[in-house]
Amino acid sequence: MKGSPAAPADKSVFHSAPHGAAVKRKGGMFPLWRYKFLYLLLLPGLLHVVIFHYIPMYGIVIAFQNFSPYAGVSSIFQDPQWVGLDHFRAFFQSYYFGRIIGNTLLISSYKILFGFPAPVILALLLNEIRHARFKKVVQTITYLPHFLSWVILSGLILTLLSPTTGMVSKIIMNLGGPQTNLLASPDFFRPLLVGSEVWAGVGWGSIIYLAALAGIDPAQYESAKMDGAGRFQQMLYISLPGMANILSIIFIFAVAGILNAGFEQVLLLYSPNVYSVGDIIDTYVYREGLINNKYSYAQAVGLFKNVVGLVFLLVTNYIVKRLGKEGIW
Amino acid sequence: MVRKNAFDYANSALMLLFCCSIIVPFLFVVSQSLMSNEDVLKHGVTLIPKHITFYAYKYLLVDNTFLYRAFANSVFVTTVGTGLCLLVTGGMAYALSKKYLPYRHAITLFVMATMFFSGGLIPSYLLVVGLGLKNSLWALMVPSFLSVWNMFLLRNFFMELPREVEESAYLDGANDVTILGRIAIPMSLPALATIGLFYAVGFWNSWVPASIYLNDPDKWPLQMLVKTLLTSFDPSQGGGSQDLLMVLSKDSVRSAAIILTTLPIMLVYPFLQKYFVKGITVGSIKG
Repeated sequence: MKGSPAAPADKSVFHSAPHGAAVKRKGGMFPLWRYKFLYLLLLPGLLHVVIFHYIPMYGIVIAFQNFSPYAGVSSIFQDPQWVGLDHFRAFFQSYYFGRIIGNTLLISSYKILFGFPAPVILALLLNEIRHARFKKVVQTITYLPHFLSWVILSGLILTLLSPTTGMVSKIIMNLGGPQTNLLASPDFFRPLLVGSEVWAGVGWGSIIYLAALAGIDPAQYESAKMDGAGRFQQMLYISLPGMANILSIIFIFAVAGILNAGFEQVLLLYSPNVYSVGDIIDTYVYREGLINNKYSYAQAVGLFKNVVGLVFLLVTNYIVKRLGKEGIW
Repeated sequence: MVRKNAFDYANSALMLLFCCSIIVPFLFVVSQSLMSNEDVLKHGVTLIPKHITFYAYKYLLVDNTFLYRAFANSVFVTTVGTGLCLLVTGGMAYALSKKYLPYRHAITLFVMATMFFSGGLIPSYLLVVGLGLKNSLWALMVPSFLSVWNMFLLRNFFMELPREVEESAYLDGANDVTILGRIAIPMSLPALATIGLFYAVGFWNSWVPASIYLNDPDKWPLQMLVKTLLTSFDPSQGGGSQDLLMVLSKDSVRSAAIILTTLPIMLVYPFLQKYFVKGITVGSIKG
């Protein structure tokens, strides 16, 4: 084609225009073709979303069937045994329903109650440290647990709490207490879950608030000082409002995830002794589905969780927006 | 410089205390990994071991090979998985960052919807099994090639790149491939490194997929191995001389495994910290 009068010398004819200008080339009126390179880049991700997110959504139908692993995955589509809402009925009427929903909501609510304000307070306190080196060291150390898996963290907890050799048990016995395995005691299991989660996440959670604090105009603090505001008043009237937007977004995510009470953490730390206080929806689904092979029943429980979780998200977002704060959409 | 008052001292003390609460448990684990069985039984785990022994490390590093295999599996999954994740995530984020791409909005919504609703554990499990990935290391990687959250982080970053550079390159006759390779990627290396680190840490720390999909202990990654050491572990099943098994403490082996697994993260963490911090704040703070 080169040099022929049909091909203008203008380069942009041969390349997709970056701003969607009305450049048309021969044989390529079709936008899909014109931006083929970008669509090619997009394709693997799109395939992944379809295969690993949307196809499993179709898999939800096994909650309404009697799916048996021995019949193979194909039996979901070919000649499935439809049982309607039987599995849901079984779940709602079972003794476990109240227990796991209660445990999930309680553990999760405690985690929000303590875990939501903790990083905010840490950020405010870190912000007050004038010594730059010391501040940096504290930040480095407090971010660390976030990068360790729950396997490692649970190993630390087990070492400290071991009834025979752990330091915590030693202290309790030295104070005249009995030898107890705290992780197997229903009274202590939930506080341990909440405490270890807050302990592990508070440093990492404070990063985003520190960034918000760094964005506040120093002039605001100056003028507050002129008006005679002390440090706590400055925190209350300038620092906190400066974090309002990000606070509301993090809060929406926290409440939307209220049915996620910490699958990995509980799975590693719990034992049959504390199922009564520590068994949550996720661990129940895991045990019933993948250990006891009751796929359909477990899926019904999981679907119930996902639908309620979605409702939580929509309602929280709506309320926060009505209050005039930023939502997540 | 502001004069220090009581609040400053209390605040610093509190911060120190919190840092100790993170460091001290580690010191106990280090100490336990170096203690002899006799001392552990007699005194419990102390902060400073009375007698230092290297039995547990000898058992894990010299007499047995399972730790090396698990380490190799972890390294394989982490490196290959992270590389492929970056390709899939980066490609999608770059394309969706172009405002002139037709159907961009619809595709974005299509992807975003998966953040709020999913099929759940059981269908995902059946899918991976149906794809024939059971008992394969690919089962640990393929399902997590794209984290939608990371993709949007990266897309926000790409959107902040100056448009003028790209446009002038077009006028100079560069095509899409050149612009991506010569301009977009070099300009966004820090962001790609950040997202890569998030993925890498995720792969390194993951164990649930391994426990669900891998029947063969030879394929276990490190975390899965440590998890097994925590719950059910019998030293006599591994290699090791009778003399060693006599003095070996199960808890010490566990602790030594925890230390050896944490070591790689501890080594790279101080150097990479600034990337992580950048990553969490990129495109999330609006004034």
